[in-house]
Amino acid sequence: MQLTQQTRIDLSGLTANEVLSGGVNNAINGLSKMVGKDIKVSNLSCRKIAVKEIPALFGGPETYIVGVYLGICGDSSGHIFVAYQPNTAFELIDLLLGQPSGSTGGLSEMEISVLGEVGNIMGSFFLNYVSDSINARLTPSPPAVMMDMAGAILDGALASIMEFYDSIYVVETVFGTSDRSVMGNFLVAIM
Amino acid sequence: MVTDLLALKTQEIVVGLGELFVTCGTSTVISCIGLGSCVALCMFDSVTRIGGMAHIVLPRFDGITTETPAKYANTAVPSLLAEILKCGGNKSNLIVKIAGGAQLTLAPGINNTFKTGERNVQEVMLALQKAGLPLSAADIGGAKGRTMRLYMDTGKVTVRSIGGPDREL
Repeated sequence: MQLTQQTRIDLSGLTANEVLSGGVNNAINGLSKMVGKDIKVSNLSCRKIAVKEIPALFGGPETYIVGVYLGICGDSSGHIFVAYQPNTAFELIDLLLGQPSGSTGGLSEMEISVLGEVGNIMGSFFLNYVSDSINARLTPSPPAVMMDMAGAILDGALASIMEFYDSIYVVETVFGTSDRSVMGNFLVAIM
Repeated sequence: MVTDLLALKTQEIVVGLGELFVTCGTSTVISCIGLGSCVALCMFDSVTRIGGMAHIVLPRFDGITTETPAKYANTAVPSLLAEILKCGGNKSNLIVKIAGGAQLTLAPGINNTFKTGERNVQEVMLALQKAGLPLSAADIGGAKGRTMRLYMDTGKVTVRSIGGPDREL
């Protein structure tokens, strides 16, 4: 990793916040189109926080979640997480596979693939918006889908951040439909 | 870094990423919650009943000094040992246990990006060997998250994963 050659996105200005917020809204629009439901963004915030506080954003390090991780590659680096409560992730899978609600009870290859694709769409929509706005090349890595304690899921990425920084800018939001059939957390940490 | 010799109330101390905690308070439970690639290093003096835990995030620190020695495996081991000795512990009485070092991030193209868990465990082992501390028990590796707890009243150490019970280590 050649950090010196990377573009660090300046997140101190209002414009940067607007770009990132626009990116998040674009990601949720992507998800909305994919599931065919109106999904709203709430509690969107962009702030600098201590890396060790990040698991708390997902309900604490021992909270059982389904997480989709994508690395950000290209002119800058970072991490994207989409997290759901397990039952909500199962509902989302049923919705996308056209199955009756309650059909999914765990994650096998097919379910992992579905959630990975959802993460991929959201990450790509987010990065496309940001890339176009700041004229940079940003691409997502292949998605990794995990179901475990939030702290454990986040550990690998947090370790890679803590190699260089103890605090980092994050963009976080809660998204969901009014009937709560689709609901989750979307978090981007930019280095 | 926190050293609390006067913990009088029953309390659970959660040791965060890159932190360490040492106590002789018998009503304290020290825990590292939601370990993935991180390693929880636990030391307990069975005679003086002084114990502590470090939440290790990364394998090595190769600089001169660090303000967060518990963050790195090679500096966490001597730091936790030093804190316990400073509180009156005795190296020859220490029971050392570790948990964590898993690899959860598995996906095409990024399999090799985070081998942090494996490297963390290797460096902890090396540092323990260097410090002359034998490892009593370990629950490491695999692809599952863990929570480790040290019960200061008995010295009992437990590890649990999602959906499973607390298992004594």
